[in-house]
Amino acid sequence: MTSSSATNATRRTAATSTLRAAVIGSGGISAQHLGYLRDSARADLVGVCDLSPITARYAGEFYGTAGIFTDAAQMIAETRPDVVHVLTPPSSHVGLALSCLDAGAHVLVEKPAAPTLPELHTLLDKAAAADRHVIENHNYRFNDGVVALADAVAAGRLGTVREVEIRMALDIRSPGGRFADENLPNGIHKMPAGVVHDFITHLTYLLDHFTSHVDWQRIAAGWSNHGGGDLFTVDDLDCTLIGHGPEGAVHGKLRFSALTGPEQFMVTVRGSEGFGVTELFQPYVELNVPRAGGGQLSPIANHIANGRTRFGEGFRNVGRKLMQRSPYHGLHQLLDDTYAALADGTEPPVTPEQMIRTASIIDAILDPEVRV
Amino acid sequence: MSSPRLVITGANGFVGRYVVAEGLRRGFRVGAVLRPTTATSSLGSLADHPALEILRGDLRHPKGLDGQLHHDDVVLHLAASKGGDFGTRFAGTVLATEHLLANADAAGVRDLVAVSTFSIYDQSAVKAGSAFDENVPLIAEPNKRDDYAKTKLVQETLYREWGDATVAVGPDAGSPHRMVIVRPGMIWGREELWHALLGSPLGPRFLRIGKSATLPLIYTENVADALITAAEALIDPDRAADAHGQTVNLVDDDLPTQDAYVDALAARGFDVPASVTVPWSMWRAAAGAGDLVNRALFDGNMKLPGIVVPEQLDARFKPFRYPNERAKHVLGWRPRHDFHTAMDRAMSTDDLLSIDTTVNAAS
Repeated sequence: MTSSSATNATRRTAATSTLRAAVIGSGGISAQHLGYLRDSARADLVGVCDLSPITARYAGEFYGTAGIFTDAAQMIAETRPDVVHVLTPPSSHVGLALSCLDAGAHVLVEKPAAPTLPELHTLLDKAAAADRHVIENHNYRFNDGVVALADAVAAGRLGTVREVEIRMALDIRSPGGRFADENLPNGIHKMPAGVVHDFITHLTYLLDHFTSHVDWQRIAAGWSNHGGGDLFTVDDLDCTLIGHGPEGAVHGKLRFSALTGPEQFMVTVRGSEGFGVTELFQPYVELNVPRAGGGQLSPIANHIANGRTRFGEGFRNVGRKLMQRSPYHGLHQLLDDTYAALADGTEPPVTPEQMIRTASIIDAILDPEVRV
Repeated sequence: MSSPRLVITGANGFVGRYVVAEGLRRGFRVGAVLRPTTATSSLGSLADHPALEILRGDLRHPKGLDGQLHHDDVVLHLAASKGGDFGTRFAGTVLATEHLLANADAAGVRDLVAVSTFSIYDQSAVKAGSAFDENVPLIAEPNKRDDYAKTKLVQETLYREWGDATVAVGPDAGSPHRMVIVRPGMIWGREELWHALLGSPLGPRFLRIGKSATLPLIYTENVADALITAAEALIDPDRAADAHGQTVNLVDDDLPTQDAYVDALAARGFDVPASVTVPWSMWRAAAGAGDLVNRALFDGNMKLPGIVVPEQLDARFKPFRYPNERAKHVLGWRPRHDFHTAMDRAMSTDDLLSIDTTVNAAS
């Protein structure tokens, strides 16, 4: 089945607020992208494409477009999208994104946009030459907790940032899980960082979000396969980075664990005056900062303030689950900001510089010279 | 002319092993589809049967059974995903079916026994106490049902499109496909005695919802018998025309109520979990009130557990009567074991998969 009833409408100009959007790849994460595109006034979903006809058809019918395709080139040619979301397995991102740029579309691509830094440069150079944007999904930067920490840093409540730790624990080795399936091995295992490559972009752009000014000079990366076997090449990362910023030394810590529970995604930012923590899967934010009352009363005030926050978050998290506000809410914010920027002709919220810094850190961590 | 081979997907599953056994008992060659890493020993005593062939493939892959099917195979498609998130279920049920049918088309296969489920019916659209048969409408609002029902509903769309098409290649090219869709009720057996139509876990206890609803059950050996009988109907020149395109519900004859089922288990020494029982009408009314609040205050966007969602409750606990005349008429099938005999067999230590020739004679 390769059919469409989509029209060959003329591409809308940047002056119009609604952009024509198309999606390549209708599995897993696509539900979040398609849900936004269905509900947003900024986007008009003109096509979905998947190699599986029934998958494309299901997505098209569920999310409300008659543009249903199994061939990406045909979809782009027939629907003339302003923006294409590339949501396929990582190894196909660069090729598809380049063809979208060739067709004159902006590209919103799932992480990692490219498997290596040189390939990312190729992609970004092509985008610059075509006067189009490539936006890698840095969704967790837009989650409420990360925004709150960034606001605290910007307000100087933590003092000078000295340490940032990003810690993710996921039960990726449980039998029956999508990464542990011996019958249908996930292609991510062939990426340079193995299964961790599916998550390392998140860890890294969050580190960069709080340390963009830092020149990382020493890196030690422990890559392990604690669970063993032939399917997984890696299931654990323990990485320390030490660098210098304008105000002195900064430490970074990236940690991915398949052995610890419960599943969590924690961001900790430590400054010269205080520290903040947020958890992105079961959201809360704690700030241990100087409070009114001075140095002796601040610890007590922090206990009271954070206790009240944690107590309230228990109820709010029940409400979030019931109202289906998932950890992907940051993705919806990123998409909304991106569509607004593309419509207005301003810089999208994820810049080429951020993508390059993120990929540079990943390449550095993967360097055999830094392995421990 | 030798009899066709029966190709059975999900062959090592809860139901599949009984279907394999029944096919072998009836004298068919059986191709049992197993995933690449599944041990042959999962088929138990059947694994060494001389008429059994193992077909290796994962149907979630487009080429899962590519090159392993023959044009005269009769495919019995049992494989489906009953766990995991929506994506996992979609892959294991919908994609698997899409790929299987494509592989079958490439081989010129003509015959399919397509296993569906009661779960795709819209129980909320039918008055309590009425006859629940093949005329009950299918789900109108999939979002109100669980992922299993959603994915099985899409799967049946694929079945029907395949059933309406013709064979593309091979000796039967140009002939219409022949297909029977069977929708079993709740399949129970030795491996699954305590099931979702009784209630739901509630902390350390079990919440039983209702006592007197008739259960739409079918015993594993009876459903295996029905599926092989359906395959025979498709390849019997005298019956194929009547069977093709038919959809039949599969339930046993003497269906117990919820209480009678639990009592029969307890009488045979089953360790019935400590339970709290609530009347169906009371629980349903409370869920209905909650649904009204959800619609009024949250525009229906609040996602509640299935056990308090009216449509999902209706699918499991709403009382109906369950005729099985259509299956008997179309397939010429009769449930082999009555409820108490089935219960005795399920609770025994007998090897229910043994290829016993006396069973052949009985059938």
